[in-house]
Amino acid sequence: MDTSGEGGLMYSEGFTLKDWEFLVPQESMDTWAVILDDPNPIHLDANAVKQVGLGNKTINQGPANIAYILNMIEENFPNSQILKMNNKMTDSVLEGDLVTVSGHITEIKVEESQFVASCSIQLTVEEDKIAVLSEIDVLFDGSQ
Amino acid sequence: MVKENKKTWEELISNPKGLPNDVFSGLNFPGGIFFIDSDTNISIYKSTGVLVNDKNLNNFINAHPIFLFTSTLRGSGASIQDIFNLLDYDVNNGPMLGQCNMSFTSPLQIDREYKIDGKIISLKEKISKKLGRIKILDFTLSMFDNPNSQVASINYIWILPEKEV
Repeated sequence: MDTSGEGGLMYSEGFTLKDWEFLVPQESMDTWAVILDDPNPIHLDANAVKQVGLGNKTINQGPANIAYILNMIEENFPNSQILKMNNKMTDSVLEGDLVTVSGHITEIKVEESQFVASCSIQLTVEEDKIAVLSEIDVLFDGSQ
Repeated sequence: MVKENKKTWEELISNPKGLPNDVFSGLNFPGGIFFIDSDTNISIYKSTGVLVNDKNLNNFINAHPIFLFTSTLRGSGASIQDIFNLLDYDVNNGPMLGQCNMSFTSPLQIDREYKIDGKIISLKEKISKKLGRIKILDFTLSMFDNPNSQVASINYIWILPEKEV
């Protein structure tokens, strides 16, 4: 199935979505520690990361990584609504990493006058490390 | 008939040392409320690489969907640290989020208060090839709009490495 979406884009099964990138700064992790009220030192202090044997850079919070994926979906499906999002964290994102969110549409279904795109998405670091795998159902208006 | 003697969160947190894992199965979170404010919404967008300026500020009419994560953890009546305290878990061991599965019946709104509740599904021990001895914490939290209709829910699976004795 395929459909025309926002701005005349044609969504179809197998369609490759536009990538989304972000360079993760420590400042962002500091902000998320406040947003989450999460004192876990592995997000704030590289020495704490070393002490638990997880490397020598601070580790990005999981919800921030998920937020990057949500931003990618919003960019590809403007004014859409997330119905379901299943996320599997497979590796860490570290301070200073360049993350890329990429993926494709696996299926499109019609629900009343709207469309639901099922998408398979991955967040990778430096092209070879997959940090998050997501399966997302997005509700969007396919009419022009 | 056997009378169930399930303890509450408040009862367990008063003495969390040495509790068996199965005492947490089905344990209800204290519950609470969370207000999604526009300033935090903008903070989330900015800190995740989205450009926010005077020209597009008014475009952010719904709350970022990640508020499902932040609202439920902040509004459940127990912070992340409270959960670790209940489990008598040392945060310096480096807990990690393994999975989280989210579902929405409607978009989350800015300047709206939501009721949060949920329960711990299970706490189980296992041996990980990479991390050694770990515990797996599984819990679900839900957001309710007034009047008490569920708008979203999220299931968390946390990996809790244990320090070797």
